Amino acid sequence: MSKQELEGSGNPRDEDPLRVIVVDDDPLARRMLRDVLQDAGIVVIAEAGGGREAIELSTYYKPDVVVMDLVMPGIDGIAATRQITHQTPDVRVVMLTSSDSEEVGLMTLRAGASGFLCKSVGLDALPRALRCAKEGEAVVSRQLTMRLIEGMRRVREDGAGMRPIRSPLTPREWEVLDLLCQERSTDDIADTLVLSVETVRSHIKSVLRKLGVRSRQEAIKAAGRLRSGLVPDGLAEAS
Amino acid sequence: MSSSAPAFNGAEADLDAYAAQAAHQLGEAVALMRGYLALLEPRGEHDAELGTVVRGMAAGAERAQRFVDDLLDLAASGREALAVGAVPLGEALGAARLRLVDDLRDAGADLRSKPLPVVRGDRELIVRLLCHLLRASLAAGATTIEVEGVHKDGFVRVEVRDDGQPASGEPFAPFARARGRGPLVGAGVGLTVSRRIVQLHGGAIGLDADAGGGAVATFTLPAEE
Repeated sequence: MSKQELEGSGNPRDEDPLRVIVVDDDPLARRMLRDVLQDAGIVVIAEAGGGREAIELSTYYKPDVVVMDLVMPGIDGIAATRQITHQTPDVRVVMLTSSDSEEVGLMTLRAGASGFLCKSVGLDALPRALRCAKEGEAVVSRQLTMRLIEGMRRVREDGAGMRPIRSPLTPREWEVLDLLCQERSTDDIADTLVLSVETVRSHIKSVLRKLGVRSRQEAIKAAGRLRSGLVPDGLAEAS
Repeated sequence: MSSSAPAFNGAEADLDAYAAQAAHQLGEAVALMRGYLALLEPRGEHDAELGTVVRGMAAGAERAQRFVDDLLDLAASGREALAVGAVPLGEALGAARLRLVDDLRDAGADLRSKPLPVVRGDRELIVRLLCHLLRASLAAGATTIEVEGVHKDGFVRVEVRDDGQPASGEPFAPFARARGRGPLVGAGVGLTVSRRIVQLHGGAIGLDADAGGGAVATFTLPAEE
C-alpha cells in the first residue's frame, strides 16, 4: 500500500486524490513543491520547467490544478495560464510566485488563474489552497480581494464602460452602445461624441448588425449579456 | 587568438545571484507588459494604429524576454544537477537547430554537420550548450556553421567552426559579447553558460580564430562507452 493511501489526502471529503502539475524553471523549487504536495496526499502527475511544456502537459493530462511559476524562459506564467485556461477550461491554475505585486496578481486573474499566492505565505498552506481551487474557490490574499472589490465599485450600475476582452465591436461602436444603454437619442450621442448624426446612425446600424439584433432595445440587452460574460468572447451572438 | 575557459570563481557566484534577482525583477515586468498586450491585441484588430503600436511593443517585449531567458540561464548554470545518460550529439544538434530555426533562417545561415558520436551527459544541458554556441556564431555574423566530432582519449572532441567575426578579449567572461552583437540581442552570457555546462561534465572548452577566417569553438565531453 502506498504512503498516499495510508495517510489519505487530509481531506476526508475527497475520494480521488488531487492531480497536480508543478511548473517552475528551478528544479530545486519543483522538487520542494512536489515533496510538500505528495506528503499531503496530492498526486503530482507531471512537472514542467517552462511555459510551453506546461501548456503541452496540461492539454495532455488535464490535471485538476496547475501550480504555476511567473518568471520562466520563453513563455511566462501569465501567458501559459491564458493558454491553459483557454484550451482546457476545467483546469484550475494557481500562480505561486515570489512577487507580491497586486498588479501582477490582477493580471494573473485576468489571464484565467483561480489563485495568486506569494511564496512567502508558506508552503504548508499550499495543499489546502489547491483543494479549494479545485472546488471552484478563489485563492487570493485579502489585499487582492479588496482590490477586486474596489474595481467592482468603480463600475457604473448600468455597466457602461465595461467591455469583454474580445468583441467584434470597435472601441467607437462600444462608445455608441454605452450611450444607447443610457437611452440617449441619436442627436445626443452625436453631440456627446462630436460626430455627425449620419455617422452615429452608421455606427448604430453596424452595432445592430454585429450583435445580430434588430432594435436598440435588443442591442441594450445584448450589451448586458456581453458585459456579464454570458456570451463568450462577444462572438457567438454576432455569428 | 586562442582562449581557453577559466574556472568558475567567487566573483561569478556573486554575479549569478545578481543575475537571478535581475531576471526575476525584469521578468515580472515583461510578463505584466505581455499580459496587457494580450488584452489589447484583439482591439488592435479593429484599429490599425493601435494594432501597429501593439505589434511594436510585443516585439520589444520579446527582446526583453530573451534577455530574461539569458539571465535565468546564467543564474541556473552554476547550480545545475546533471541528469546523465547517453546523448547522441547528432540528435542534440537537431534539437538545437529546431529551437533556433527562426534565428538561423533570419540570418540566412547554413548549419552543416558530419555524423556525430554519442557522448555521456545531460541531454538538455548539451542541447543548450549547442544553442549557445550556434547563437554566438550568428551574433558574429556567420552564414556557414560546421559541426564535427571525433573520439579522443575517452572524450569526444567537438568543433563548431564558422565564418563569422573572430572573438576578442575574454570570450568566456559574462557579458563580454566577445563575438559582437549581430542580429541576436541577448544578455551576452552564452559563452559563459557554455563553459559552465562543459565544465560540469568534466570537459574543457576553448575558442580560437580559424586559419581560414572566422572562428572555431572546441569543447570536449565524456564519450559514451
